Amino acid sequence: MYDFSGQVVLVTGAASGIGRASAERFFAEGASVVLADRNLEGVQSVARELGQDERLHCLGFDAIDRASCIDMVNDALGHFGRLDVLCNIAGIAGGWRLEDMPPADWQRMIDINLNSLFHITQAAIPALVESRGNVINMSSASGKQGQPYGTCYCASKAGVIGFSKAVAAEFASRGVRSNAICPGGVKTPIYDNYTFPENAEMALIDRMRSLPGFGEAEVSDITAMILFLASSEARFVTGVAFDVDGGQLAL
Amino acid sequence: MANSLPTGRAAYDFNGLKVLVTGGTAGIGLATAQYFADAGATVTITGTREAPQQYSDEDLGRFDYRQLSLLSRDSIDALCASVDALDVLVNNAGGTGGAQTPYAFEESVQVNLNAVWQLCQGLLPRLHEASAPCGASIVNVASEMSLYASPWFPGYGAAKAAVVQLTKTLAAQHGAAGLRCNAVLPGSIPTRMTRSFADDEAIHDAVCQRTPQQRWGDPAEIASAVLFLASAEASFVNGHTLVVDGGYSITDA
Repeated sequence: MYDFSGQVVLVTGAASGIGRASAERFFAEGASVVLADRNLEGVQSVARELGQDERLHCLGFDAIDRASCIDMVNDALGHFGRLDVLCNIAGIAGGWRLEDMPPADWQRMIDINLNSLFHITQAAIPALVESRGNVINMSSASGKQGQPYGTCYCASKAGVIGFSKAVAAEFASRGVRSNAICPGGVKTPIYDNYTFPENAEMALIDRMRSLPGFGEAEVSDITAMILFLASSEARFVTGVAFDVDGGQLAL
Repeated sequence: MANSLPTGRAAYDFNGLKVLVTGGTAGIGLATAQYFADAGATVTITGTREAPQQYSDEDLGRFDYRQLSLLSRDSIDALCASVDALDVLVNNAGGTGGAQTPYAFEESVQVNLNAVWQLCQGLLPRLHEASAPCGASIVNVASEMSLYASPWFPGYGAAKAAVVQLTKTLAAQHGAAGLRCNAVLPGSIPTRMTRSFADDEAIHDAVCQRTPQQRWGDPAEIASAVLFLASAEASFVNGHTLVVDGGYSITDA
């Protein structure tokens, strides 16, 4: 229902979940798509399922490593020669009791969920200015809402919103839009594999799970929002953190 | 400043659906009604004048037209009673009363808040009967003054802020029954309501300067957001207020 033909979209975290579904939908709507993920075999398998079209390009990279992020973007730009939409979707999740969280786990999550957006967007921004393109950053309802055992995840996702708005403010005059999306729990591997600490207080978790819409979103609900924000339908929308949570944040 | 991507409009399919846009004779309401009609919907618009021909500047012939005064409970009730089927309600009508003749506080709250509630209340039975594939929904039009103070329109600002919260309340109330309620929050858009500001060079330029995208928006850009929220693409979006303001609200002057 959109026409993204002639446009190039870079999707990180494209081997599974929201990233994979977004890459598939952009491809279906005519775009050329760079599928980037730590799991190169994973994105290659996605590309095979999509018929190995020349509009697809697979790249492996490690979001924890600045050099790897920059190399990935440069490879993508070299391959298709332009970039119209950058989807920063790669991320990890997990819960720890604050008292017990090892600093190395904190650092790893912040590196992947937040710092990689800096490395990737910094490398991609000249191409986005050239195409008057836009950035979509994956935040979370956790970026707006305190969640038990989510000190690091919530902090990283709140950071994504701030980063996204600042990019919007800094680059609007050069024609680049930047928006964030805040899903409630979505049925993806991240959600299925989310671990709470062993001695978690279940009452706290049950309270969160009882919110309307929690964990009920399908990936297609999120990709629909991504495509809208990426399209010219949203050409006056920038700096927004869009809730897709079935009403979770309304209460 | 031109800021369009090389993509065309989205191909929404609202065929067979019934849409009511209050205040559809000009500006954001008209752009929204046109976009819904282009996407196949049967669209009813309202205006304060008796007949659509009294709006000489636009051809409103493709829409079903009803007279509606948001100041009159009787008028609101009569409209609701005359609607026999509805899939999408767009509460767009409202206003400040004009820069020269602003509504009194109570009038402004009636027009911009109470009327929205009264229309929702009156039309909820029709919306709950709807069998639209995208699910029935309400889209309310909020305002920059939901977020920011204007020294001139205290009633308008208070009412528009309340519309954001009413949107969340309706979302929480009716989500379980499959009815969604969202809002759009337009930035500065040149319309009949804002013309005296848009035409004032100093105000026009001040808005551009404060807006990261450095321009006023277009009614069609708000219509885009309304159609997205009403469509199946937004089937899990509920209680959200979508800000469409070229980035105005992220800056702090």
